Amino acid sequence: MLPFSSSNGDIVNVATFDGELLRDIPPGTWVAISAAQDRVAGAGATIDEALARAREDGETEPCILRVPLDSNLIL
Amino acid sequence: MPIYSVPYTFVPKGESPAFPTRVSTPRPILPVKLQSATATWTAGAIVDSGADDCVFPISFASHLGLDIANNTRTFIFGGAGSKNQIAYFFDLRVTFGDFVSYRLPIGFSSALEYVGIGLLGQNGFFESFAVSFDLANRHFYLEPK
Repeated sequence: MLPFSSSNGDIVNVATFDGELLRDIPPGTWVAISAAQDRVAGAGATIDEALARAREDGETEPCILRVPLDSNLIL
Repeated sequence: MPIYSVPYTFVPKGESPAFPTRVSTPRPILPVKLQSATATWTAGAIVDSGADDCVFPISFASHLGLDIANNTRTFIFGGAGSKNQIAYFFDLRVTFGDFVSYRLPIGFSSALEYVGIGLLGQNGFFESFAVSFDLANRHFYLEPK
């Protein structure tokens, strides 16, 4: 655990999406991850497309991000 | 305060000559909710100890109703392979992973558009959390300060 921590030891697990959800989605596609972080609720060439599909799917506040391009290397 | 345990996201990657067997790469991604006076926007962001500030793709700003055109609170920055990129800053309420929120300066830049994800840097994020990366155990840990 954190060696510099002043915590009382309580650990809270935070949900984030599994990267495998992006496996078959073309690079560069914008995706809307469900609020529960367990599925891709919408995808499209633009943010608006991904968001519209997610909202049709009942997700009012999805998490928006882009599937990395193969050449992307974040330094 | 509790410690928040966050799993790494293993993002799929295509083959490359340098790493022919690599099929994914680990990234410490955290869902972040940005709140302006008129709207909220949830996005993925990478916990990036090498970034000076917290910066997001510029297209997110319009969804938050932020006026980039008349914002003079700019900052010019460079990164690996790029220079003289402009970020436009606004003070926003930011909720990290749905567990704690702060009011922080958040930048928006076209330089982040092609990666489509935010960066959580030293100013704002790392001054608000003690952070520990434990990739061997596929988790990173955050302790609010």
